[in-house]
Amino acid sequence: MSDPRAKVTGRLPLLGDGLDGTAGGAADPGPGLLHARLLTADVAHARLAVDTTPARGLPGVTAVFSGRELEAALGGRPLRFGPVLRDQPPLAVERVRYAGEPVAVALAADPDDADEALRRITVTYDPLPLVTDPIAALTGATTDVGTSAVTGTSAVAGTVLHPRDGAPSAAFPEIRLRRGAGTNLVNHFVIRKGDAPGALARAEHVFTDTFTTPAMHHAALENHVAVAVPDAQRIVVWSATQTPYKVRVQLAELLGLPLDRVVVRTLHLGGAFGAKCYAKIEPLAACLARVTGRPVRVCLDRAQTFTTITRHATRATIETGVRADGRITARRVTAWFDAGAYADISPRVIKNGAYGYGGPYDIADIWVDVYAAYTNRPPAGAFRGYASPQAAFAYEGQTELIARRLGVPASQVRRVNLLRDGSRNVTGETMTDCHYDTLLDVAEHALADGALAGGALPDGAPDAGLGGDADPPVGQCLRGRGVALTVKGTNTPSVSQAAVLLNRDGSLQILTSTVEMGQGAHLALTRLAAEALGIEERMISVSLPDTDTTPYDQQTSSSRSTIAMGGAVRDACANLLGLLTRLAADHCGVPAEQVRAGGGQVRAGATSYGYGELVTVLRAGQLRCEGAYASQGGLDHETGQGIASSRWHQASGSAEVTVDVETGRVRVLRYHAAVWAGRVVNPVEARMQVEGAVLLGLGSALGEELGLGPDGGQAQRTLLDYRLPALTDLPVITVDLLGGPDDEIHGLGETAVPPVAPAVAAAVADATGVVITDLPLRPDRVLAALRASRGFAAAVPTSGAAVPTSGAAVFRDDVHPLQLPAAQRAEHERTPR
Amino acid sequence: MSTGNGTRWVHPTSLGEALAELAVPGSRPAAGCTQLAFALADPRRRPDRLVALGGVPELSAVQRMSWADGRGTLVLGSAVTHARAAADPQVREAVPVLADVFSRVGNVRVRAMATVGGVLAGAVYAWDPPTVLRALGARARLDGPNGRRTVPLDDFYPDPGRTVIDAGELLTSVEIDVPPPRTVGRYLTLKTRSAEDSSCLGVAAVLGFDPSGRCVRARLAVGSATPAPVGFPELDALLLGEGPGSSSAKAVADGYAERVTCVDDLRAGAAYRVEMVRVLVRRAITAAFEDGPA
Repeated sequence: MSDPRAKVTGRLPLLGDGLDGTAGGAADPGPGLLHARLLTADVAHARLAVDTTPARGLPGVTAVFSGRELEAALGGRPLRFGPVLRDQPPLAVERVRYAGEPVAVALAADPDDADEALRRITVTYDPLPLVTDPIAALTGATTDVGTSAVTGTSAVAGTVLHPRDGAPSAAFPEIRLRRGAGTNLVNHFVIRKGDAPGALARAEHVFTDTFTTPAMHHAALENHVAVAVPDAQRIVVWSATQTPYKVRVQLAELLGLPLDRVVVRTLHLGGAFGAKCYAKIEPLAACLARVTGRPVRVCLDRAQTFTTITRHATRATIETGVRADGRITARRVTAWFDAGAYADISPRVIKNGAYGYGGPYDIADIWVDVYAAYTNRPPAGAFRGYASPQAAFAYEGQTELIARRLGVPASQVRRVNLLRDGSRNVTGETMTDCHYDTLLDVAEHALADGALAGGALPDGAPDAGLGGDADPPVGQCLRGRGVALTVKGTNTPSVSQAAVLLNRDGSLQILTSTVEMGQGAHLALTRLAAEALGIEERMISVSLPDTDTTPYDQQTSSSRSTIAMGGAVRDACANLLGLLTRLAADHCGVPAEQVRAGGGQVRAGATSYGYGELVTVLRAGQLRCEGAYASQGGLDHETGQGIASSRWHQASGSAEVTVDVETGRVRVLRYHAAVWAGRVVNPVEARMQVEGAVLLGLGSALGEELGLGPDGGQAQRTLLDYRLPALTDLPVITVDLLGGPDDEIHGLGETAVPPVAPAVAAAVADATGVVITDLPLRPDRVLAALRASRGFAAAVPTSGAAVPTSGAAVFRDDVHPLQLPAAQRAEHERTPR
Repeated sequence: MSTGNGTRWVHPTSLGEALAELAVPGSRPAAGCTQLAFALADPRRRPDRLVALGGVPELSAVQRMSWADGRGTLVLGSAVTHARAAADPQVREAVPVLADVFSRVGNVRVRAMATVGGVLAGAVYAWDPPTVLRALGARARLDGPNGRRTVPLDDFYPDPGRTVIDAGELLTSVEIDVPPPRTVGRYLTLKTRSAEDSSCLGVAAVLGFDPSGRCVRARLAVGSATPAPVGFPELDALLLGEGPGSSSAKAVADGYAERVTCVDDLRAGAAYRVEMVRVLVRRAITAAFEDGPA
């Protein structure tokens, strides 16, 4: 069991800690460890020529490779990996597709020697056209494809990032894609429920709005790290990964080995947030270990981690038909997700995005098209919330806009549309276990009863002087409150397996491949096993994942571990009780019906044994039982209809903000998070998970965004360039975990993330009357929106200066048509014909 | 591996020794190391030789000198930490706005290490204390092989990212004349990303009043948004003679906004910063006037 304090004091061994790769002895790579240092591209799209000759033969330097040289050393076939499409090389070959992509590696026992070698490598870049916008990536590419098929011109090849398609990966063999070879389309996911175009044509009002969210950095404290150890038959890879079994599949197919020849092991992770799903640097470590025959450690620095994986930037246009009372009658969504230079898990992320755009609302006719496109940005992948935060910002933003245009409260628009038991959701599933009415009640009550609003702040709460900012004079600071309601699915179908080992002293080992990355999964599993067997938690320990010894688990992600692995552990414990019952019956010569196992005891007739005592008496050595959990579901390829998620994670958020109308600065004073938790296994850690989710959401709402430098270069290299919320930025955060001991367990890892940004944006709209449709709510963006709002102009004392531009925003729709003059606004609203 | 492999440290115990060590080619002074830590962690930027200033008593003193005519001067040694400057009773009593700015830099961990000399000599435009020190008319005292010289903060940054400190010279202290009674100092900042972020803009206003509440001295400085702290005395002079409800605050603010050149970085674009100069200069003046007659 990891003591949370051990993380702070540094006593918890992490793979990235030990300079020799040993992490305090927990992961011993043996003698001869080589450190791999990476040379990364400083241009975003170019043909590449790498000369490693000057770096060879330096003192202490074992080997130096370009991408092409690494392929040659491993037999000459292309090395490509990816969980869905195998399109990514461990080191760029021929072409670099994003700034920060590794282009060469140097190996040495002393990393300083490897660094010296990197300085000698010369890289020549022949620039290719830059693709940084997913829509341009698709339209530009499809326009050119017709010509390219005929002419094969290099200009066209330059705008298509992957002229040759990646092979499918065995990591997700079931996934079906919709894509065009020779284009930048990674995948197109479709939902067709009812007849959205027909219903829109019949609608009383139709509103069309566009929302954008930027790329984000996961910012786990521990950077990516892997140590690969070869031997004659097998390869062992220690990795800070959330998905040991998926990484094993990816490494096996990359190296052409059977699965049993690849071992993946993890220690505790220093945070992950989705960044450590699927292979990232493990393929490079494994290839280098194979080539050199020595243990190789790859450990990225922060600048490299920034470009390894990101959260998708998105743009979504939502067309919604409503009645005058706010009832939604139809919706059509077209959204673009910027996948970056490699597909990673984008094909699946957009599936969750697609069903996400329905929100927690009952919409009879809804069509959704989500496109993931290759661009010359760092790859985007799994990120806490898995597209639901981006979708929630869009649909809840439109809820606010619709309410304002119709002149009805946003609360009413939500109420008349909520999914309730028996409703059919966006994928056509008949809903059960819906709690949106309760969540909305809680969210609105939290604001209405004065618990959040008005009154004095508690002692120690942040006040208007926080952080030394200018106190805006009274009258230049507006206060507002907002609510958001969201839904999020979980990985479905899903498989987890576990084993429990009962020792003769009564202690129990749980063998699980669930990765403990700070979320408290191991503690939850311990508690569930203790409960099932009626023994004390201190008698239970949880293994670290090791594909040689711990049973199969799909992955640690998607708020699934307490449900799925918890289910497997409980199943294993039930099987253990059954086994103890049978063994005791045999031993005592009584019918099994007369044996009771539970509460730490096995009672067979008049005899009673402690669990360990029975193992001892039986001379069994150790008892082992397996357990499993599997959920079913899946969506139809043509219609997107079916079971998208085995559980629906439901949440609401309430924010109270102030907006300084002269600077555009938004300050969140208080935030109330409510989640449908069902049965809470560990209240303390559950609450911490929700609080952490709120912090992450606040970062996305107020300031976090990954930009691009000039010419597509890397803009952020350190955490000073990319500011996360600091403790001193935090509002008063309160948490409601709704549900009771008899309810089903619901996942909590991500549930509270999606409401945060839309609730904060709704509060800003409440304060100012301006609904901002682009994240984050940076001061300059908010100020520009306020100034562009005619209704607001009088309240902002300006001297007629030019409206500030919004910096590195990808898209420019900062202001909604509602803020346009009436004549222009009319073009955006179509009334029934 | 990552903490100074190949960097040689020397530990002088007097100012004379420190200057002698700094005369060795390739030497750089090291105090709180909050900024140097980045260079130490990067093999490409690791300094060859560092002269630790922590053992030089002359650099760690806070002194208040009193002159025969009643005026006073506060002398902060360059190795005095932000935390100490913020907490020092003499600083808090004599120049509260200076204690205020040092108490707001970064976070408690940074303030415990970062020094008065480092924040000036580092010449990083985003840092706050230089802006306040400029508005206070502070002077930097430099000691070197050719003796001692004193440079007003107004002249301390000849170019963006550069100071007037010559090779072999050391910034040994900062002198601040203790403002006369009825002086009000205000430092306002704008942070765009986090309360712990460097300021996107800082505006310092130091205004002196006569007993009737009329402004008799005014010195403003704008920093963090500009390549180095700037002030425009001819604009400041518009405030002289004004009383509560100053009618010139807006004119001064507009003048600053028209004349500053702002930087473009990840905290904000230049155009937005210029607009914020207009807002914060006005707010700083207004705040100072509100407290002036008190």
